[in-house]
Amino acid sequence: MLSSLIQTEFFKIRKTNILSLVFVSPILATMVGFSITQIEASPNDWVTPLIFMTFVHALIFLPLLIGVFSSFVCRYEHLHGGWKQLLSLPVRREQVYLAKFIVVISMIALNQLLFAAGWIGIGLVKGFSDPFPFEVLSKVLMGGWIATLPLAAVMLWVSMAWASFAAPLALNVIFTLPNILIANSEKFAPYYPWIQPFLTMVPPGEESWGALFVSFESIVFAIMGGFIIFFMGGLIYIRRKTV
Amino acid sequence: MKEIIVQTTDLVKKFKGRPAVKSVNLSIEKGEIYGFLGPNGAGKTTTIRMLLGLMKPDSGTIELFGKNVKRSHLEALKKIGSLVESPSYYAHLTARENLEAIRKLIYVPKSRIDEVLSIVRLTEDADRAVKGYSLGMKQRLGIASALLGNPELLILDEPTNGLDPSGIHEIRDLIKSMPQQYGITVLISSHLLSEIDQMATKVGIISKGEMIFHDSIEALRNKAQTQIKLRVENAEQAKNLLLGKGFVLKQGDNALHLKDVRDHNVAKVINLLVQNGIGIYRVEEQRKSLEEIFLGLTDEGGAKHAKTSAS
Repeated sequence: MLSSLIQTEFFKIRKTNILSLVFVSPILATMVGFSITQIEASPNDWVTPLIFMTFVHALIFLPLLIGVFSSFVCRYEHLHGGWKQLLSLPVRREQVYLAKFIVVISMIALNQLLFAAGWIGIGLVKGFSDPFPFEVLSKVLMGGWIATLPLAAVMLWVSMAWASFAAPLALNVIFTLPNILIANSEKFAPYYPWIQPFLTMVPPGEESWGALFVSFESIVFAIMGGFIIFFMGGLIYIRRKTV
Repeated sequence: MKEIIVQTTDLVKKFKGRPAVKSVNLSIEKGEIYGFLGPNGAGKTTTIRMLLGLMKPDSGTIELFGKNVKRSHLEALKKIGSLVESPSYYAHLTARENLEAIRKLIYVPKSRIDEVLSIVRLTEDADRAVKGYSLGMKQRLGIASALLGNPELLILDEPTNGLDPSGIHEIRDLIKSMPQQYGITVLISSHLLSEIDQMATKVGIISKGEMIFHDSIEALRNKAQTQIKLRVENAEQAKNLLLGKGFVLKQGDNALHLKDVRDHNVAKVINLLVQNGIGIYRVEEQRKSLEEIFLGLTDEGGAKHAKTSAS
């Protein structure tokens, strides 16, 4: 049943151009990463472009895209009575929610892959001589992706509840913009869901190179805690949703 | 005793404290076409939404196919096809893709899509995006979606909305054929009595959230009384004459209304009037339409309407 629901979701977005948005942020980030000059003090040639790319991608674009994807998979249900048709079919509401969630995080995963491809592409074109940091790659890809889960959950919840396409997006922008300030705050950064993708993706200073990019409590509290709360919230919401 | 497909007991639903449905008791037997009738805002759609599990009742129970669906609607929904209020669709997809999006979830063979498209006569337009459809075509698509899963119970909320007269006729014939051809039970709601009258075997009338009538269509028709309307030269004189001879009649509308419509009675009255030299302009049979009965039932108190139609 769940796999049919996921298939249906992809079937419904197949003919839209939402997927083209997946390319925007990686392309912009790659352009920035390609144009900057190497920082002398950098421990590894690969790190410099990654830092700049992460600023472009993870600080603003990635959180915004999560909102767009979440809002989009609910948009066609809100528009012409899709919810009432979908939920009067023999489907479990929890699975409807889960299917949409999986579609959203799959698109983000694709987004991350393209970002990584851009990064590797820069290195190949410029011919970096330093060894490729595979460990960093996996952390950027996976860490960044996992850090988007709470955001995807909360944005999907809001998007299901609000019939408007623009309102969840506006909310998302409001919470994303302070990222620039919060990124510098040791006190708030670990607990602010919108900054987590950036924290997990940006390579820190030399001393912790190769170690976890985010502190332990940041992962535990903000990512896992946020994910559980928001995911359960969305699940309870759809169970009770009056259509 | 026939199998009961839909049974609701004291169904109540309130919106912000205001009751939209108050203790509705529906009972629909297998193979019936149940006409659910009521003016706009009477609680028809709210009741239907509760039947489909789209919203939860505040109190009361719903039994579908003999099972209480309080815990889960899942099993019941497998046997139900529905069209609630305005038709639902994905505008960017074609009709065929819209049906495919549903088909993937209800596991019927792909060929069923062509079948339902031809039933509602959408085959020719099936590969166009639905956003370019007329309201009537969207409505047909909605009916096709409801039929897709070979349902045992078909719930259609205002299915002829937006259809042109020939479309209404087709859909009506289609719905009428459902019970005999496929053994499908149909619940159809409408605010138009004439529509229900031509399809339904049983009627439930809801007004302001309450069921005010629940019986066969014949029982509703029996409420229609016939009378003979006589327009004569001198109504006052004629009335006194006829009353004096023991005929039961009422005066109003510049005419006399005769209760006893048997042929020999009418003949006697006319004969009497002619013999007394009172000119007769019109003799008409008047049937109280179902529409008037409906209005009488749904009107506040009912008395107001009865008075205006009699005067």
